[in-house]
Amino acid sequence: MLSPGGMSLKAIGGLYPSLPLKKIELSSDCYKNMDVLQKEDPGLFKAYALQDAKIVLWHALEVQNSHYKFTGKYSIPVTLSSLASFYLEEELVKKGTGHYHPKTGNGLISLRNIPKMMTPAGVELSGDLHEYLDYFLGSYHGGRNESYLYGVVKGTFYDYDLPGAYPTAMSLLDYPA
Amino acid sequence: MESFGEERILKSYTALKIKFVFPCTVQYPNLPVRLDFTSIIFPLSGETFCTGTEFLLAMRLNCEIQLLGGVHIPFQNSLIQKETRVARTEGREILVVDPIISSLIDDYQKA
Repeated sequence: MLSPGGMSLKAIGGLYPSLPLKKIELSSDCYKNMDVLQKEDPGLFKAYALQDAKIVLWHALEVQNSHYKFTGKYSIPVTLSSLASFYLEEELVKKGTGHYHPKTGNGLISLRNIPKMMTPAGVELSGDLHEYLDYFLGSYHGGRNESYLYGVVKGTFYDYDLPGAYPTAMSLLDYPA
Repeated sequence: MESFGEERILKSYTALKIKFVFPCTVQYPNLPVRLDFTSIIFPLSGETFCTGTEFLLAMRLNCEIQLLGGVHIPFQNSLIQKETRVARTEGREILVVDPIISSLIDDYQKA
């Protein structure tokens, strides 16, 4: 949750090349039989476990520092994306683009807390937002992932990948009127 | 649909609740329908929520669509006049943010 793009622990250790945080590599047999490694080479077993913990601890502290720098809150955020969205909004404000706040009646209800909105008080205080929300929530189905052919098929296959397809499409969006 | 215009839908946040029937000749229907919490299918007919762009593609595939309700919020720069209206069809209350969808629902009710 706190690594960009689901990075491996090895890659996270690599983010800090000046520090002794290189992940200890084991053979594939060791990964499958950690109990054997513990018995045969307890020193390596202990070093491996401690090094992983050090990488996690250091990265968490770095994220905490970034969180403090961007938001003034000295805590570890739940996800990097929450930190990124805060940073993006701040940048948009700095550049004069401004930020969009959906209409939420008297401002007591936020889109960030949908469960709170779906209460008797929340519905009443959220203006029209609770009426819009069902349609947009229901329309979100995620990406379509489907195989049209099954079994062994002879012939040439092409696999097309569109790098950045979602951000590209989203760049065409505008603020709601 | 002609009065609605593709660009008008594309330049908006549109979410609809619809009933639909594709012609049986359509090999890959595009409207998703949830079966349960983890499964989604793309049947020839059913009832679902969809976005404006999915609605547009379904119309191109000659899908028959009954509009049950929806929300249409134009982009700020699309220069479309905004109006809020609550319509009622099949006993359901529908919030409509754009008069075009109102007229569409009226047309469907008349039909």
